[in-house]
Amino acid sequence: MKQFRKPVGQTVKSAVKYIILTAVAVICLYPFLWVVISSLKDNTEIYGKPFALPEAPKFSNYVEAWTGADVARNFANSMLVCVTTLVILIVITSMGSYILTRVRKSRILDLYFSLGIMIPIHALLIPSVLIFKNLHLTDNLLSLVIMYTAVNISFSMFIMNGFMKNIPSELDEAATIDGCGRAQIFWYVILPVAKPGIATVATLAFLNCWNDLLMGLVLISSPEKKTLSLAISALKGSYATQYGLLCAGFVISIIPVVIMYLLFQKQVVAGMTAGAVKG
Amino acid sequence: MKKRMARLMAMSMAMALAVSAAGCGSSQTSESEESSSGGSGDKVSVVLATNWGEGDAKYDYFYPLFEKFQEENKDTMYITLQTYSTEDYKTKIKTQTASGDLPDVFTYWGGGMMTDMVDAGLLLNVDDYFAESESVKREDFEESSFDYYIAGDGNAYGVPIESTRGVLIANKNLFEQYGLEYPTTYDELVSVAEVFKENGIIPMSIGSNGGVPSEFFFSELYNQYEGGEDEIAALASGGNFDTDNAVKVAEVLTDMIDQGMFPADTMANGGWTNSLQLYTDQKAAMTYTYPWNYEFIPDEIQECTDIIPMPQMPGATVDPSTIMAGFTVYGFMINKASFEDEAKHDAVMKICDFLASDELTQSLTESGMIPCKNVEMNMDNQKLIMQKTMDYAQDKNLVQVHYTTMPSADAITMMDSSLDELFIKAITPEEFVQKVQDVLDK
Amino acid sequence: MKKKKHMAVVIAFLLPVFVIYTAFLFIPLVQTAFYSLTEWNGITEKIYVGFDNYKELFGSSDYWLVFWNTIQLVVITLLIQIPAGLILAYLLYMKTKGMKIFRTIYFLPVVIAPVAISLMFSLFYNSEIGVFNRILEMIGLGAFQTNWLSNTDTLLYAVMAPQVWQYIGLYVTIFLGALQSVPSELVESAQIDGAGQVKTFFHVILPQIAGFSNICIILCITGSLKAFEHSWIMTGGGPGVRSSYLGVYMYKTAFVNSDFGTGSAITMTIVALSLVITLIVNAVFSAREKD
Repeated sequence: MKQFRKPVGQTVKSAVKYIILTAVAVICLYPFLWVVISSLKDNTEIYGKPFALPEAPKFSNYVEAWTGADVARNFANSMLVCVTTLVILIVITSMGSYILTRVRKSRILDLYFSLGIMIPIHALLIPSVLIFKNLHLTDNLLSLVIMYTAVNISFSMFIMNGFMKNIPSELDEAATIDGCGRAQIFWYVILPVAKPGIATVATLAFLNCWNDLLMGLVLISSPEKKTLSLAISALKGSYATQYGLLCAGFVISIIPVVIMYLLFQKQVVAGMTAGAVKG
Repeated sequence: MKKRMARLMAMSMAMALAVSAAGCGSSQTSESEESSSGGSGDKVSVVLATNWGEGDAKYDYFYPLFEKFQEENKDTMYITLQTYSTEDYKTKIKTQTASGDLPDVFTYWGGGMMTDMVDAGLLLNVDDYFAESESVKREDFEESSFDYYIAGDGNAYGVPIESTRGVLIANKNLFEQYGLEYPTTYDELVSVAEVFKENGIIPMSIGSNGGVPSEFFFSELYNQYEGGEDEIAALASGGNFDTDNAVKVAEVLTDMIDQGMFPADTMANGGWTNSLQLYTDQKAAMTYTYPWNYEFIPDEIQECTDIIPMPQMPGATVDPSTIMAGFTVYGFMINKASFEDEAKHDAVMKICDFLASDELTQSLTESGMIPCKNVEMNMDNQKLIMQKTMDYAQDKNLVQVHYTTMPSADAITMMDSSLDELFIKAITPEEFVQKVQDVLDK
Repeated sequence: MKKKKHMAVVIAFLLPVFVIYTAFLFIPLVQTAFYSLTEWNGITEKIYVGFDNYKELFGSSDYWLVFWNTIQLVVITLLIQIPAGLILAYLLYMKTKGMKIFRTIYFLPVVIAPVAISLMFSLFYNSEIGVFNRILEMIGLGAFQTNWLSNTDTLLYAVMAPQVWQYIGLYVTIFLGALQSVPSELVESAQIDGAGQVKTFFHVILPQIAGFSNICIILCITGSLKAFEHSWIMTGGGPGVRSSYLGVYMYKTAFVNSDFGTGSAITMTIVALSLVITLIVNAVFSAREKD
């Protein structure tokens, strides 16, 4: 009897679970679909029938967005900046986080590094322009890389610290007994286990960089150095805006992010099986 | 063991160095570029900035000519063109001003928005430019279009490009369908509105989100009242917004809101796109708009659209069919330092001549722009509704709006956000006027 | 000898992150602090005015309205985003089929530009053409129909909703990562001991990821204190300042009105407020850890 009951309860529970999960998924999927659908409409259709499928899909929005935002060129700029930022960011924050959580804890430094997540990006615009002017790095993609790294350090350290703290200290101890130095422990023991953390940081930081408009706006001036989000923002009109065109621009810029995310997800899973489970 | 650690350390150090080294490297190249361009006089780098972003109607009419201009002058100058959408553009110019990197020539707004720049001596008195230009004269422009760029010292600091006209447009078909005449007085407007409301049609699609389009509608009504025109003009120097007329107009607006003339949700239906949309969908019978939105009016709506005089408001003395809001929207400004820089001077002159050329002006008019410069507008290329507008505007006395004469940018901001409040009835007419005046008094 | 080596590693590992952070984030913050003591329009010379900007701010009713809006946003996001993120992450973690697909879908709203989300929601809310009121009517709640963005009672919450909703996926991602880093032996052994799923969750898993809830709470708070885009795009922070948060107020003051002194002062109050709340949260957490 008892043995029978359990599976029935389990089935109901799991049915409820899937109903909730699916309902949330629908709510989350809808805006994405809405943006895609709107990208094939003109303003009259977006406003007149905001929730209907386009009557005659306006693929010309994509053509116009593609050429208007010079996607081919600006996509490369964005990729270059974001990937470089990610590499630098992950290397330096995981090193820093390793020290601050596992080697030499410092409340003051923790607090110091957490200050960064409290600063609104608008407050950094003018100071950063002045700094890069003094460094003779005006209108240089490197300035963007540096700034993106800097603004993402705080929250990356924050998340990374959480993952690093959770790694059992027996791992270090065992490695120390095996005669490993600190650097080796970091590289061969801790880093592999911290992969889910790195993947989380990478996903979020990539998103921050990819979608940033303001830093790119103030630090970059030449059209040939524009990032994708900057170019897409230029699709807005001075007074009225063609929202279909803008949505087409958004779709173009979202797709690489989704692909990126799917790739990193694989990494998360790989990192889990390689690190947490085995370790 | 030791080796590995050393390698790791070296790696991290190398990275830190790489960052700084890369910095040095590129700075050297950019510096050498600059010096070669400035010194030897063969090729000079100049920056031209405009708010005609790729999504703007003007871009398509500007860019081909710009490319041609750049090609013709490629031996003498290298032009960096900065184009952004208006909102981004303002932020960009503000940071560039703060860091001392103001573009050499750039489109910008006058009135309260340029005051600080003029005070800091960043802008060239455009008479200095006209004195030297061989192809462009100040007389080529509508003289009153300079008003927006005239600072406290009486000099003009911008060359006006775009002018505009405020229009009340009405859907002929809807009026005919319900057997209605265009209202000429407020009482007529009220009774017309009654009929439309009974039939589920919004009488006037005017919302208020960020003061758009309510702020311009406010000014249009203001000009109907005795002394209104002069008071708006005097605002620039006197900073007095708190007038009897202001309260009167705000009261009329409140009454219009109470009468249900506007969409119920004035925030969601504010802004240029949204206000116009209800009209083009034939959900609203009238709206107040500007030619820069004409590209969003479909042909069949242009067909059945009439431009009509504003109904006369209660207590107003000026005949609304004789006036029309018409003002300079923006123009371009010249960086004084660049103009005085010998290396850049000629290039700056050439760019200005290009921006003010008949050829570019004419091309821009095809995007639906009313030029400040006196050039023939080729009417055959214009949209039907633009032709109707120009016909209507012919015999009108152009009047100013608060937007162009408000002496400081924060007073405009306050006027906009308080009008939004007035429209949702969160504040009274008196409070609205007081809030704007408080900012002006600061 | 060993100690020296140890210190060298510590410094070598910390240096890069410390240098970049200090030079490009901390120094700008110090500069902002300095600007907040000046009167500056972004063009002419800065004039030192001491604490006048702060005095003016604290004496302004608009500032306190905006301040209160921000606090409300903090509380609402905390109450909704964190629990929702945690629950959804846990549901996904429980050997759910199609977990990867769900996770990707939940993350999608985070990826979409706030401009698009805000536009969609303004259309939703619009009482002339929107569906929100129509849906209410259909489900028999017609009495609750209103002009969502033009009603002083609903306006602020109507602006908050898209933001609160959009970023739940972010917390799902973080919590899911955290849950996955919990050693599976712990969970398995608890289940072998006969603990049910709810019990396992509260007694085994939750303590393990407590550090992450701390992170999420702080991200949530600081994110709300800096909130900008949705409000700016939907209403421009208005009417008046009724739907402004501190971030919007700061931008409007500095970049629209060119009052960089006061704008910087607002920034400093954002940082100070974040700092205070962060310290409180940390204190609460460390107190709880000790229990």
